[in-house]
Amino acid sequence: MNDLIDSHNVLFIAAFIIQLLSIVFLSIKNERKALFSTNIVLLIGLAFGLISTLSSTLFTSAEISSRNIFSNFIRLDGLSIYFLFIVQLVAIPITIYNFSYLQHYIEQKRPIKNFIIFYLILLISTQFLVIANQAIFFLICWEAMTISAYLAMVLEREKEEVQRGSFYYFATSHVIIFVLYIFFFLLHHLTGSWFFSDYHILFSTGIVVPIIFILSFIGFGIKAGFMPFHFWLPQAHPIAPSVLSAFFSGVMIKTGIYGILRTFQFLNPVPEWCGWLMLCVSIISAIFGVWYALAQHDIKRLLAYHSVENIGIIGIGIGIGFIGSANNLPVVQVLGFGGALLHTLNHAIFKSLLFIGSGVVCQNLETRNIELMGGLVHRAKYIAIFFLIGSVAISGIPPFNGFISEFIIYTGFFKTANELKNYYPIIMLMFVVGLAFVGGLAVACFTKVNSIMFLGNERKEVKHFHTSIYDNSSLGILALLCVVIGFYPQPFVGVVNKVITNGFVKGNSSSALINIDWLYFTVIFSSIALSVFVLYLIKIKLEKKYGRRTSPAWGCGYENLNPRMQYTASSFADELNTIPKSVLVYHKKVEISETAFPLPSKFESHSKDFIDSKIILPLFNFLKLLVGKIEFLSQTDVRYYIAFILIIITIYSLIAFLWV
Amino acid sequence: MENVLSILFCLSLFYVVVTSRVKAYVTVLRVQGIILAILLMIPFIYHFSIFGIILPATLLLVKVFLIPRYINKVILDLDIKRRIEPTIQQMVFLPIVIASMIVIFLASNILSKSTELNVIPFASGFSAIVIGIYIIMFRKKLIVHVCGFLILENGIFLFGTAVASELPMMIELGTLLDVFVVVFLMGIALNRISNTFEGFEITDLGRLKD
Amino acid sequence: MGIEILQGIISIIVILGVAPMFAGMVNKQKAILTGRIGAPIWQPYYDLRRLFKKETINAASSSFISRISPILNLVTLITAAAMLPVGFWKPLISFNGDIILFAYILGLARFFQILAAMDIGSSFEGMGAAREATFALFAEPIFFFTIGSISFISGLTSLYDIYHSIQLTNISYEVFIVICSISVFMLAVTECSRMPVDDPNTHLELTMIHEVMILDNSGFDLFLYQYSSYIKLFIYAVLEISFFYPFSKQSYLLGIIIFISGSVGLTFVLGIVETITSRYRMKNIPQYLLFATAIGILNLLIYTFTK
Repeated sequence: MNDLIDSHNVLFIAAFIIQLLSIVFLSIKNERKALFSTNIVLLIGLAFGLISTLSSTLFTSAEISSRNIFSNFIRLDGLSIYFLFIVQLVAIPITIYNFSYLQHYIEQKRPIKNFIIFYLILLISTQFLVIANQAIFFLICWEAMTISAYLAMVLEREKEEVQRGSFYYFATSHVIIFVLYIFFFLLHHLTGSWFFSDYHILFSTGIVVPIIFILSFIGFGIKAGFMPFHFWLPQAHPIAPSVLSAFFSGVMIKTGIYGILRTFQFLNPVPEWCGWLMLCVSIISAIFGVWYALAQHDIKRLLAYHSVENIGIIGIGIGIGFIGSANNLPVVQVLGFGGALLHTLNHAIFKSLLFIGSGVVCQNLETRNIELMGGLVHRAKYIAIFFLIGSVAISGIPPFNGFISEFIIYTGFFKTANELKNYYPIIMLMFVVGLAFVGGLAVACFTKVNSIMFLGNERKEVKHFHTSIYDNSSLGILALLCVVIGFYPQPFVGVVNKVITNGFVKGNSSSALINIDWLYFTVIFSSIALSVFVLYLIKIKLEKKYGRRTSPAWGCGYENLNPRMQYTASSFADELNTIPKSVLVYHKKVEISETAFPLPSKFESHSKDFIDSKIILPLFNFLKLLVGKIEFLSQTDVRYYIAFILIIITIYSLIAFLWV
Repeated sequence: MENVLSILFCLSLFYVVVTSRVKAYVTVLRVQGIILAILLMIPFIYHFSIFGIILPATLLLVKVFLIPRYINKVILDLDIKRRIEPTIQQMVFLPIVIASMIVIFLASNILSKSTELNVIPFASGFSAIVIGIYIIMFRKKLIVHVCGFLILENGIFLFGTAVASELPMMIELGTLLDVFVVVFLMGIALNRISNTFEGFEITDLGRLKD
Repeated sequence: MGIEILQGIISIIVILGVAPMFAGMVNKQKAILTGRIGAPIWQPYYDLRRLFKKETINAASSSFISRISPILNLVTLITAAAMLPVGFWKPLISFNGDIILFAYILGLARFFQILAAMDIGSSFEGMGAAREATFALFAEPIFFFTIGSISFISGLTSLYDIYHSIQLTNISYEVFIVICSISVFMLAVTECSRMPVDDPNTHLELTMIHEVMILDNSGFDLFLYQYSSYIKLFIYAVLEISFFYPFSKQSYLLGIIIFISGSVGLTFVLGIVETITSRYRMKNIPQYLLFATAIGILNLLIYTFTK
């Protein structure tokens, strides 16, 4: 137990204890007070955790060293600390938002105490998950995370869409855990150990190793939401409470990325086809994720599809890293994994920002349909600004953080093509163009979201728009992080570089990541900001001199413009949505009466998920039919079940007997 | 030089893919005929022979003058509408074509390692064959089908020049004649069909079967 | 080092100063070709001076986005202009990977311009914004297929280095470059809202793209927008001209001569293209852009597999 006394570990353990302790405060009768004190204690715990994480060797200038706690059950190496950092960093603003978000539910007399308990379990299990070093412990944390998230999700359980969406989530989680069991048992079978630190398998050692890779890709890929497996994201995110959606999208799906990276560490180096598989799946996720997003009217569903896109971008980085590892090129590996890891952090930041922002808006307007929003910038200026920062960042546009990680990934492509001549340049160029296309689509999508939600006139009358200090501060923290990483990326890039050179690259490491001229970005972005400011002052001066006034917008001579005549989200995206109509399953219905005295015209458009509507649902309908055939087995009498169990056990033991 | 001509040839293919007018198909056929004729002429710049010039000259005559004229005449006579009536969106068709071309180029590059062939004309010709088939698949009008068939044939020509520098002349002439006859027959058939039915679309032909 | 910075500053001043004249020249060419006398080539300067002194009118429902967007637009375009080589001079901003920054910084300008258009809350601006977003999306691949493919071939990632890696010694490479320049021309036409894609002189709001987005701006705001659209046109002109430097022989005088003659030549080409073509239907524009992309891909394929 010596390792417990280490000064770092004391803080580390204290953080978890404080977090757990917050549960005590739930016993306070008054729900408001209970909520407040629990969250405060939880915040203190998280802050302690963050401090202990930040004081670890990853963030200091010292050489990185991994520490074991609780006799190897928990291991803090570079990757773990990095993901722990992400979890804690994002959990703090989300918890701050909890204050104001749950107020609303207290008024509705919902059981928020249950919610807080599950939220707490979710937080703690996620933190343990990324630092677990033992397979069974990892699986326990995984299950705890999944189930507590499910239980917290069904806060509004009487709504039908909530039941449906949470069932999707629950069912897919079951599939994941099933795959992961096989995954870890195979690993155990190969190495004879349950500890992650013992897993070092050469890819060529057996036929079972590719199976391990595929299993991890499927299991963790479903969690992360890569394209063929993404169907649960847009079902589960919209119906979850906003706090949870932010946590899901910001943190929980990143555990999938963590799993894939961990698997890579077990198998390092991987063959090249893994890289190609990863790249192809990711680019499809990225392009179609954002394209689906463009067709949505439900803001949270839209953001969920954007998670698919961003996971795709992260996957592209990982794919480059795999290719680098297959060809033993440290430069490519550093750039690929570096881009992926930094984008993981960035996405956690701006996605939770956007979810929280949309949560505030949805709660005030009591709708998630963006066609009913508009003009909110005049109601809540700060939220609009923060949301704008998040949107610019997620579109990968400078000067915010999304650009930095995409820049690294682009550089990775250029380096890959440069190092591996032959036919690589063409293929890499295809991916570069794909990524640029994704960027363009993201711009289209987020200009749509921003302008329909916040700009123009109010489409639906808003009686009062309530924002609290908690909303603004939690959004402010996240927006500030976006700006800081964008303007001054060096320290973050340094940390990422340290994670990679210590855990991923074998042999000589490369300093390609640090050698990018980051100073240029700082200088260029600051000078842009400065000159915008100066020009703004000049503009104000000129306006004083020559005058400024406001007048109604030009209506081509028509006087009675009303807010419903504004351009809508569906018309904004219409042209882009009709191109891949069959993939997006995009339907438009227009009813125009052509009688002499026109009746009201109608228009509707909606998009279904291709995978969901064409593959998953038919599959399950088929299964339902199949199961219906053997329904006669399901009897009410318990004795039948005992008989079945007996039969099954007999069959199993016969098989086992014959096997041996 | 061959590469430059191949680029032009492929550009004409792209144009065929994006255009929506029947007239443009005829123009493209003319352009492709000229390109092919020049391509066949190249070897004779250095050592001139009167027999060698027969094939390019015939090709020029048949592909640039006779066939396009005949098609134009059919269009005029039958009063065919100018639009091509595609079955899939142009925006979807072009990416399909681009993707197939990339695959073809990569494949022919791999092929060229084991056999003696000129990658660019080979791949361009191959693409023309594939695009010809696509056009027949994705378009409704019969006259466009004829054009698609001719593009396919042009592809075979280019393909042929890439595989062997000198194909026996008689065979080439034979194919030319073949094509001419086919187009001629198609024209007559169209005329007959137009007498029997009102439209000239492939859907109408479905009624012919018993 | 010092002299390089000075050269960079001079080239950006040249771009900022000459840009309106370039637009004026294009319009003059177009006027002459259509049989009119046309406005003098200095007309854009007069326009800008006039706008500078006008009263600013904002739409009633506009927010801070409308106030900040024109400024941001100009600043980002100047930043993009600072990455371009004028003559053989090294630009002010030049580092490895600046082509990505170049493409994305133009994206920043576009993002805010679209937002500012939607800020008005009128359907006209909405239409323009939606079109801008759609067409920009299809224009982005063209940039990467042209400049990006040269970059992939040469292994360099800075605009200045990429252009200097062009060596016109190999015939197939020459063809490659010429076709690249055609693709860039199509890109320029789209991005700068010129004729086959957008008609800058149209009178109907329903058929505009760029002009309708700035319909409700006036005064200093409009000044900023106009000036940045002139700069944008000139940026793409410089991108285009840079293909034609004989980079193997570097001399300042030659660089200046080619820069001037190239710009004048390009105004001719733009003038002719705008005279002989009519605006495409909105539905066909993505197709046109995809066609340009296809040319880029084909070009690259053929170049790569030439032995």
